[in-house]
Amino acid sequence: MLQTLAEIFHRQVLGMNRRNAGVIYRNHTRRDFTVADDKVATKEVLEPAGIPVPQTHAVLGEIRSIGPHWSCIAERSNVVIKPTKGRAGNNILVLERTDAGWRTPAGRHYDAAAIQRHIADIIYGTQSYGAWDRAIVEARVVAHPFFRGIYDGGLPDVRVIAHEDELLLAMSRIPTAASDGKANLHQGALGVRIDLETGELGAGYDYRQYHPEHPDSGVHFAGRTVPHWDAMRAISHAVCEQVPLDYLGIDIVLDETRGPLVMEINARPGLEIQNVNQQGLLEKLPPALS
Amino acid sequence: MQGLLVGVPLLLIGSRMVVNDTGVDAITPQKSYEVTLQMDLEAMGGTTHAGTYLPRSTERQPVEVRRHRPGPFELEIANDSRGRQAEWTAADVSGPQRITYAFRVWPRSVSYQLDDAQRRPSPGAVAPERQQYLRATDTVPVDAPYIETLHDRLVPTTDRLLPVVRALFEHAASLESADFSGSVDAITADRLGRASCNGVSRLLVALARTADIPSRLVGGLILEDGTKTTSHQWAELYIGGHWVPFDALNGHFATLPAHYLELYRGDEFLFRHTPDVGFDYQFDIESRWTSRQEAAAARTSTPAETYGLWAPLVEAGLSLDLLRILLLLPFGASIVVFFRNVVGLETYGTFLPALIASACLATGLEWGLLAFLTVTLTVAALHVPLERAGVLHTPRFAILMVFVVIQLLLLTALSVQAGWVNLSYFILFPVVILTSTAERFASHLMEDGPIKAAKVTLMTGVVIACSYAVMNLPVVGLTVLAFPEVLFLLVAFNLWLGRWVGIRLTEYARFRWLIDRQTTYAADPR
Repeated sequence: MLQTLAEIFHRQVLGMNRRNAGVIYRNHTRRDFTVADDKVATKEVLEPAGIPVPQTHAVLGEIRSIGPHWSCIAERSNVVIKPTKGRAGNNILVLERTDAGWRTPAGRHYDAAAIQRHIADIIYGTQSYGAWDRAIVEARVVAHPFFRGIYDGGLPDVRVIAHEDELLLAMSRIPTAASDGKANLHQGALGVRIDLETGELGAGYDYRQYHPEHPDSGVHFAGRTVPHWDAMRAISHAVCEQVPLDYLGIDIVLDETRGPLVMEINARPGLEIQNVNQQGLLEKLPPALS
Repeated sequence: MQGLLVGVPLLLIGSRMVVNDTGVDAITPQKSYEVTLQMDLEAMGGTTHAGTYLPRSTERQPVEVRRHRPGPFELEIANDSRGRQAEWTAADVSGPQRITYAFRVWPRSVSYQLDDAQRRPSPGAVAPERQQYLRATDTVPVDAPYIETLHDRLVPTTDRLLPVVRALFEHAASLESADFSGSVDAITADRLGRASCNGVSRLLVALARTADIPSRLVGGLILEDGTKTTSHQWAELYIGGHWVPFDALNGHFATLPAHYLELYRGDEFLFRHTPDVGFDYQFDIESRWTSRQEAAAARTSTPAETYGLWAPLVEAGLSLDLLRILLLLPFGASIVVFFRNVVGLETYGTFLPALIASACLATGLEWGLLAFLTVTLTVAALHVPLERAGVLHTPRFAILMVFVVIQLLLLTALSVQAGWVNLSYFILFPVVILTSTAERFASHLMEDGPIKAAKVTLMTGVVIACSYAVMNLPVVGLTVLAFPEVLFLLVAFNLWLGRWVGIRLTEYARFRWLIDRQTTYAADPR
């Protein structure tokens, strides 16, 4: 019994050990990962290939470059500031202009000094001590009405796992009150299964149970189809072609006016998507890897 | 590659075991005790004596002298049937004087299997040289009617020896244990129904002699970590050609536990000194694990060559203890790797648990965990206001480190003050890694909430404890010092683990829908 159980797991599920040793770091040098690990580098690869990405206003690599670029923050009503090497959505500052200064979607007020301190913190490397980073200032993506109709808060995204131009699994990550607007499963966002062929939403998973409706808004989403799904699939294939990695996670957001945009790509995508889909990744990978 | 990494070190270890003729003795743990006897005299001038029994080095208790600071005294040792009588003499001393004598001993437990068929001895059959062990003395009044009546009441009608010994032992053992200072004879002990070690042992000896079994008192020390001012007495009965030990007070029948140190035979006082001098003594006892080979070397008075490899480092002032902790670190790290990659536990910092565990080797596990927790909580408590105040990351880290250092120094000072000397090793704690881990705890606390942070802290504690348990195994500690080649076995283990792509144990729980689906399928295979 135990032996067969182990066999089933080994045949179907992609575990952390196999993901790391057998899939991600196979055939790749450290250099290949920079495309995924640095958002500026990602854009430098994707943009020339015509793959849509959020518009970049500025990249700040030094404290003294904040001054000359300050206008690109100050003059806009909506901007996002994030670390180019940040992970798990940490240290992302979403700003909205007010009469007195700025505020975040959560209602926290920022003045110019606080924003500049945030940028300095990113540059000095809050995430990994010792490592310097750059801050990227981008246009704020406004969620498509399809997603706002499910839950109006934060920015949901679509995660596609791909291996050598083959799309394996997809899910949508929809923020909740618990996740504080973040589309991060670890922080409480809902993971919703997406049918790869049709783009139809399935049930949402919150680490405990599967729900057909959003826990906060109560909107029943299961059965609805993600708009622009064919475009998202095409974009995912295009990303696979441009990026030198065999296995990757592609995060796509759906902007109200611009449609699907690649927010970032992930060289070490999480395994939770298997729970969201109730489907093992290993079955979908070529037998040579298992 | 792995074959080489396993084979070559094993071959090297094996050949060294054969060439040095140590076998597995070099890594077989045996507990040893460092005993420091300290005698304080307040001399009044004139010739002053102080004497005691020093332990005999025997097969059961090999002894090695470590230190002798006689002060102005001259030591003379005389061996007789009672033991090694040591006498320190000084011709003309006055004022406070201290004599220190330290030795290490590797005692082993002895247990006798008594022959069930053995017959009771008859008085005539006892050899002349053992007749003295049947005689009455002041404290063992064999001829007193009280003892004879008691003996007759206790002894069953049988011609076999074992039931007699058992009945007498059980009676002596039934006495309530009492902390009498001074000596109590066999009859008084029995009448009171309570006695300390000497009363109980005298009663057993008196009863045994009445039953015509040659028997005698033995004096010594129960070895326990700490400071002692009391000695111990037990009995030996001559059965089947052996002096068999019995400690009725502590219920050891035909057994001498490993931590009993024999000092003298007979009903003696442990210390003698010139009358009219102030006299005080204490034994400081510290146990530690050593190899059986070291014990053997002490027995034959030859130096143990086990750690000859490290001689240059030791001469340069590095202690073997510190060296051992350093060599054990990769063991702790491998345990962490196992817990992360095979079990799938999440911990703070990859190797922090191993580093904390190695610091615990010196402080003891509970204190190490306490230090880890207090430092983590302090850093978390400081992290939040510092971040709110907008202090940038790197300077914030430096500030936190100041407080971690202060806290460790405070803990160290506190432990030294309280006399927990080994806790002064708090200084060994890996400050930088501890600080960065504590910071990670703080950000974890803020991003994922207290439950998740507490969970990971708990798992970190579990991994620290397991890694400590392995590093603290005596055989592991002895092996890394005697055969550092074993570290290459760890390389092989980690090479294997580094390419192992199996499912982690916790992943079975994480993806349990697969199990549910399987059981559903088994129940209804459509």
